[in-house]
Amino acid sequence: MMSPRRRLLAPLLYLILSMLCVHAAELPRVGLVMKSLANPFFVAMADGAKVHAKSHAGKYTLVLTGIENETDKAGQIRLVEKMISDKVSAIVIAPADSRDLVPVVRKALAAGILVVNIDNKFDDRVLAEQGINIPFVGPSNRQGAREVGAFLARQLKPGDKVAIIEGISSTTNAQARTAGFREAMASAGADVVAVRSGLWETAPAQKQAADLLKAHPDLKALLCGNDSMALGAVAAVRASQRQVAVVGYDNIPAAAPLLASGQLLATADQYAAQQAAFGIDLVLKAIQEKTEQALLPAMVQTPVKLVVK
Amino acid sequence: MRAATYLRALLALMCCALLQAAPSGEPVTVMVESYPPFVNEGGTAPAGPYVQAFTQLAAAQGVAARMQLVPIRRALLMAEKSPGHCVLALNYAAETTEVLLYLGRVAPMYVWAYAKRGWSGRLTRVGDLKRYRVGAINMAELRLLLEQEGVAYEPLQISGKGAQMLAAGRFDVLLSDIGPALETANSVAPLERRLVVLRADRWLACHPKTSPLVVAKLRLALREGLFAESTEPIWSRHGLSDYYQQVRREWPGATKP
Repeated sequence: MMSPRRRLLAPLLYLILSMLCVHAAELPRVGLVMKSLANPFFVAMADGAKVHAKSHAGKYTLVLTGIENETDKAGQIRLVEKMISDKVSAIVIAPADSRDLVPVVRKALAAGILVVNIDNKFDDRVLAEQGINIPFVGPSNRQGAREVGAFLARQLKPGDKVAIIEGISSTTNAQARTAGFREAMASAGADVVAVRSGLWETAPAQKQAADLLKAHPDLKALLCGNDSMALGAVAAVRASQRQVAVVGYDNIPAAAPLLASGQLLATADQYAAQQAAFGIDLVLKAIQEKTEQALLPAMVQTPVKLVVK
Repeated sequence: MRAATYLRALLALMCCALLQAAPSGEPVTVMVESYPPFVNEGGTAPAGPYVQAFTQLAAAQGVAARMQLVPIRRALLMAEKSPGHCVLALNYAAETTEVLLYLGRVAPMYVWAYAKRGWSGRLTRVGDLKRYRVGAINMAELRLLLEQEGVAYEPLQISGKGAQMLAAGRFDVLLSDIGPALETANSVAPLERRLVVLRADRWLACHPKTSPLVVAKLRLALREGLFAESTEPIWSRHGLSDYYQQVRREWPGATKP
């Protein structure tokens, strides 16, 4: 016969065990926080994540979300806060800003959520200041841009004038791509006469390109930090009826006809469809192996390839 | 839910204990450029307070550091290519953050606008530099600032030559952090500091595939840069007690808990 004490303990123990079992049986929920879902690059990334989730059915649940435009930092912060309140297991994030998203991501870490960074690297200085480790899974933007620039350089002569239209200047990937373009132009002896921000988007880049073409009648090339901005630059060149080479970055579908017609000389493929998947693979491995955030690898480099006609 | 919270807290505690106690077993090679009086040439190996403070702080976390004196450009190339290699006292450059891991601040640095003594120009903010011929050390954070402010400048190929070039009239204003070199140059042409142009930090940066355990330990080691209380005797031995105290008071990197 069971003692009264045991009679009291048994259901309690059962309750605790069943709670733990239910907890164990729950699939980890991985939140993917993207940048602009109006940008085909991130649409490809989202599609890749959906394919990954389908092929890993029964292993995790994907919670996919993104912002309206590239500069909507506040919107992205709200998305991360929602993920925290929804108690996801992990967040894979392509931050709209390298610095301003760090505080909210720190909140996620404090809530026990694993965080992995893709696409645009968080600023190491802010991470060090906050004393946190957030792995970056992604390609070397600098290397990719250097290859695109080197391809363009074959068409240039020493002393030729070129200009760079970069993304949001405070972002790490914008700076890395600009550095790669600069290195390639320095090797060719070309003169970078201006660096302007096209905010990663077509319309602002078109305006910047038009201004640059007007200010520099002998400009030979425009190096754009992504293809969305390259579309704007191509439109401006077409309107000016001049022969100015344009290169881009990302290899979005809309770039294909421009590459085919020679209006866009080269771009770089960072395998957008696989980038989020690489990040998700890292968090799934960490969850499975119970790796602490502090002991995750600081960086996992993914491939990048030059794309020409 | 409570059980899971306790389990997480227990795991975190175990992790901290592991980080504090266990030697990593993987020595790192740390390269540093000569930068008197903080890094001096000491025969085959570097010496000076940066070197000694770093070695001591790393050892306290169980990381053995092999210190090497290497010119900065070569050090950067080696650290980008070789796992387990780091560069000490590096200036931050966003474009290298995909090939190097910036682990922690080690020390402050200030970039000043210098002019020849008695120069009649007026500098109250960075934008004022637009009116003058400017020479500047090659540093990414400074470059970014000057570009944002629309200041045209001549980048120095060799930082140490800046003072001589200023004295020779190649430009009106020199933007530089270099104290010792300027002191030497002062004997030729007296210079004076006119404006703090940039407050920045020097960093420890390592190859991105450095072991996560070593990375975590080095991050812990550098919580207060090279100015932890335990390093005070080192700074004192080098006659830099006042500098040490000033940095402890003023530099945010040294005031972290």
